[in-house]
Amino acid sequence: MAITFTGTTRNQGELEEIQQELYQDSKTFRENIIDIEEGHKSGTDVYESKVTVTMSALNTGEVTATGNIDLGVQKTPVSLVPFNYEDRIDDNTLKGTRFEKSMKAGAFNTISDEFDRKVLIDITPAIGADLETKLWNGATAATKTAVAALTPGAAQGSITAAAQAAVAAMPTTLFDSLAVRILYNDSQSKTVPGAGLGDYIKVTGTTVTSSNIAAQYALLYAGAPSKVIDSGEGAIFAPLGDRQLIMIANNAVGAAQQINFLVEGSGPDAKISYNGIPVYFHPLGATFRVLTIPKYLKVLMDLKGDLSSLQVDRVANGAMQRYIKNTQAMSTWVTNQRYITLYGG
Amino acid sequence: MAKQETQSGFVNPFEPGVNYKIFLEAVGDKTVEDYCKGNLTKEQIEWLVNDLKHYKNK
Repeated sequence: MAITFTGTTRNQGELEEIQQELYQDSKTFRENIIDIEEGHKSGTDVYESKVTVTMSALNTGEVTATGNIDLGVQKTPVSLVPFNYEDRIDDNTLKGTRFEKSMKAGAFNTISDEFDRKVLIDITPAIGADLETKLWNGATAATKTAVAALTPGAAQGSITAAAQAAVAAMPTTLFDSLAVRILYNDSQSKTVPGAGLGDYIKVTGTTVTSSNIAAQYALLYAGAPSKVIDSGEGAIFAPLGDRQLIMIANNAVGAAQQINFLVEGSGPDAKISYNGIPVYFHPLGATFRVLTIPKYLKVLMDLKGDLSSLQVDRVANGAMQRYIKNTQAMSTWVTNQRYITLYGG
Repeated sequence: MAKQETQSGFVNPFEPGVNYKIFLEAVGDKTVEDYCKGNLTKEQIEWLVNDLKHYKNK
């Protein structure tokens, strides 16, 4: 007699490990290469100074106001942008899943300890990954409009059409990324103070591949002021994909190997440098690379700990839901712009 | 504002102060390649043609 069965079947086993998303953590905050400034609530004033002197023939008389020593100080107010990541979740949705097993007895108890330990715990890494992207690639709607209104050109002192298109294509964010701050800002320390194109040194760029990456880095290096190169503090900030292009370029198949990039170590922690300048990889768009002294690139925020601080609690008045909220305030800024070289700008 | 012209009348787009509006007015009905030949390097002309694709597509 054949076996007959009536009803629905279900899987009797399950993969113990929940297959999680891979998060690129926030390297910017972890490595602290650029200047991360805490302790700012709504905004801060950024001061820059520059002293210029002019030699003159010997004067044996009384010193007069020659104008030969100029002590310039400029102040620019920078506002922080408050933002949050927030939502409500209904743990009742998890009934009938493996997560029900770790819910305490009692019809009101729907919080799953396993769900919190294995899924909810990924909220702060996801926030870190999202912020890391926005720090390097993104523009506010207002800045996108302002950049689109610039007349582009090939020369120093104008934005390239490719850079303009890159900004237009960026995600629209609540605060401008570092790349966009370099391109456009309202610093009072620029040659022409106020809102407008940044004072960055422009190096025209092209689509970077493993075949031309060494030549393109040579252009960036040659375009940087010798003060930055000779300072011993210079660094290159490059798109994430450049790491792979560099490794391919350094290990060209079938060709006589020419090592253009120094790679120390192996795997994801390998340190890469070009002519003694360390290269740091961040989610910059494919168009841009930056060579500067890292402290000229700034992130202004209230508290670094805000990155990993999460409020999770029951919604009020007996609702069987929880709210999740992460609150931060942040802005990017750039100083000493005449020492920031932007490839692709 | 005076155009950045050389004695030959060439408006160099890589000269500070020259933006694409000024440059393309000088190019007129010629192609960018024909206008720039002899005044810019092959690489500069190639780069310019590529960048102008983004400008003209606006």
